[in-house]
Amino acid sequence: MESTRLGAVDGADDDRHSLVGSIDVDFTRFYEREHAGQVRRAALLLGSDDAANDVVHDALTAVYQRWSSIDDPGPYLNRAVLNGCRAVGRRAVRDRQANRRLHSAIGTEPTDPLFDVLASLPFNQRAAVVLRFYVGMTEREIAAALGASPGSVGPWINRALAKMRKELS
Amino acid sequence: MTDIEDRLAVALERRASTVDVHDDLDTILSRGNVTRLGPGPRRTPFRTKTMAAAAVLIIGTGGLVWIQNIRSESSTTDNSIALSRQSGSITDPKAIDLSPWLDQAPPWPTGQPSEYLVFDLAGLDGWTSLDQTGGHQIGAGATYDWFSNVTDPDGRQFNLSIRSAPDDGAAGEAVDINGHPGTASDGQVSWPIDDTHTGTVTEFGTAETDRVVAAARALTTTIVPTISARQPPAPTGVTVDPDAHFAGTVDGIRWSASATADSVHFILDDIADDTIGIGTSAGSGSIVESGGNDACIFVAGLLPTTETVVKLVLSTDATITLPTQTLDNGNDWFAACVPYRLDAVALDITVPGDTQAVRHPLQAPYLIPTTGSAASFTNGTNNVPSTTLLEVPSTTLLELNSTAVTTAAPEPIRTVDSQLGTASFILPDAAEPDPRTTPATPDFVIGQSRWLADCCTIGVVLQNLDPPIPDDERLGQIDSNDLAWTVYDIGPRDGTTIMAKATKGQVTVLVSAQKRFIDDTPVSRVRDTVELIARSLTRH
Repeated sequence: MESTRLGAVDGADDDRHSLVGSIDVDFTRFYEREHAGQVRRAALLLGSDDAANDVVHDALTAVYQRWSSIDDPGPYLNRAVLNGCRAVGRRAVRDRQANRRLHSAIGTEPTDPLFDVLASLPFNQRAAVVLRFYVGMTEREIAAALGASPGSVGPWINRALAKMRKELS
Repeated sequence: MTDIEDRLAVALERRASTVDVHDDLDTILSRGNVTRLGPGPRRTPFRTKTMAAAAVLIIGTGGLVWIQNIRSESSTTDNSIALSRQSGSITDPKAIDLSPWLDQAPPWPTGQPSEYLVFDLAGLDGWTSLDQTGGHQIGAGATYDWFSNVTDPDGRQFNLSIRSAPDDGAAGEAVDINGHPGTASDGQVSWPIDDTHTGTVTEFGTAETDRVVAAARALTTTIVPTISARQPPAPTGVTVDPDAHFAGTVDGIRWSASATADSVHFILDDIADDTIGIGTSAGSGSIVESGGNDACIFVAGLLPTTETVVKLVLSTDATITLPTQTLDNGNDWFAACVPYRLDAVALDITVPGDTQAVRHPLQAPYLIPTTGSAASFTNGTNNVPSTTLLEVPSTTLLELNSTAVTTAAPEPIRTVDSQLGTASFILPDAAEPDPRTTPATPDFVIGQSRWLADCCTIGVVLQNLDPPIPDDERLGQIDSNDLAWTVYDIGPRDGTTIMAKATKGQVTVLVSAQKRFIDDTPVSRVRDTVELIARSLTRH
């Protein structure tokens, strides 16, 4: 399911590639395949588009800086983005809440209260929910992405859903 | 699905469709240095750092090398050093001597403190310190980071760190650390030790916080005169290449640099011998940096054009124009070995026709201060010296000999040689030596080889540092040929990256295999391959 959210590799801009070296060409293809999906996923975890773009930018920069040393950059990027989201989580939530207040003040459409509950969840629960219900990962895949044991993912999701039911009922 | 699950899926999809995705590709390609790998305003989880370092070792690559394209916009530095070192030029590529600029150089790093606040490891009764590292970063002034990987009496692994910066307020549960307001989450706690230092304790392989909070409360601090725990390097026996394209001296020590189409080979007389791969994007240019020795940082670059001007920028904004050379293949290069205490902060690259130089900030991390001496951590029996490179007794493991090159024995037995000895093992039948340029490695790596097999990329590394790996990545145990191997899934826990680790004496052997990015190979073959190699690895 994840792959359906990724950009096409073959649509790369040849002119752009002709200006740069082989490292840049390879990285550009990787970027085009991964970037948008990673930003959307990070935005769901952080509640802030800007914070998500920052985290993914930093992660991709790290991948680029190590490009010649990484044999398999996909898992590296996944880990880097999730760790970045984990690190800035609280600040991002604060930003999101501030943004919501601002949007409300200028009359924009109120956001789904579901996201308030989502934002209040511990990071691992929030990430598990997003990876399960947006990305479509299995519990084993979620455990791998979060660096957790597979047995912990189910309880995280169950607790998250229970809280959502309670808060939204 | 339940109602709430349906609602979640719809809401997440709808929200995702509205996310404003910024195209950052050009920024990353042209300004790939925006993420500082050392001290900076953004908190980096130390667990991630250590795991990444371990993973880097596994695939046999070095962590002290950065490749950066020089197509970026110019930037400026902020410094207030008022010393008056004058700008100048060096024209002979085989006589690069920066010592005239050292005469008036400030202590390195600029404003280097004479006292460092670190955790007093002797205060943790029964704990063992696996290493202690730390240092400054070029351009980051006197700020420093100090780290130590430790194990508690039950064998649990932790990382302790102090950063000389205020706590930036991590996410997590509020906890009290001896009267200081800390935050704990996901197996990590951080707290302000004082107004200018932040302490962090991370436990590997767990999201629980009870133990890290308890450990943090048990820690005390002490003041030491240096944060370097590095031991003096042992002689390598390697001398500079008289035919190298670039050569010079640093504090009387000769160095040379030979460039090829895609790499540069540095030699620091009797101290360092490194080959560093570099992108062959001559149209845009590339720069590499390699630290890790006590004398200087190697900097080299493949330049876009013959007339490109390269200037080393000092903290005073004075510049030193470096010589360049055109090789037989037509590529243009520069190379230099820059002493830390030169306090150089950047390279300015000016391509003909451009009115403004491209500035490449030097960012080799955690360099060792050239003032001060080796470790001062002698205040407890639980302190173990960190990287004791080349100090391993010759009988410790693998009946080590003195060969200094990596060679392949007749099929199917392969070997990894190092200054300290030889390990022999069996590879899958189809394995071929990895033809790619061997990346630079940290100095605790004493031997390595890389292979390409049908299933995966294989690395065998000998090193004198035992990297801590989270317990929850452990897959199993293998005992073979008097070595006790622990097998880990060190990738995204899906079997794509497997490593076996065995330590005997002070030498650790890492056998790793990584499945290729786009590949239908069953992941089980990756683990099978690692275990085959581990079981076969013998001393001889």
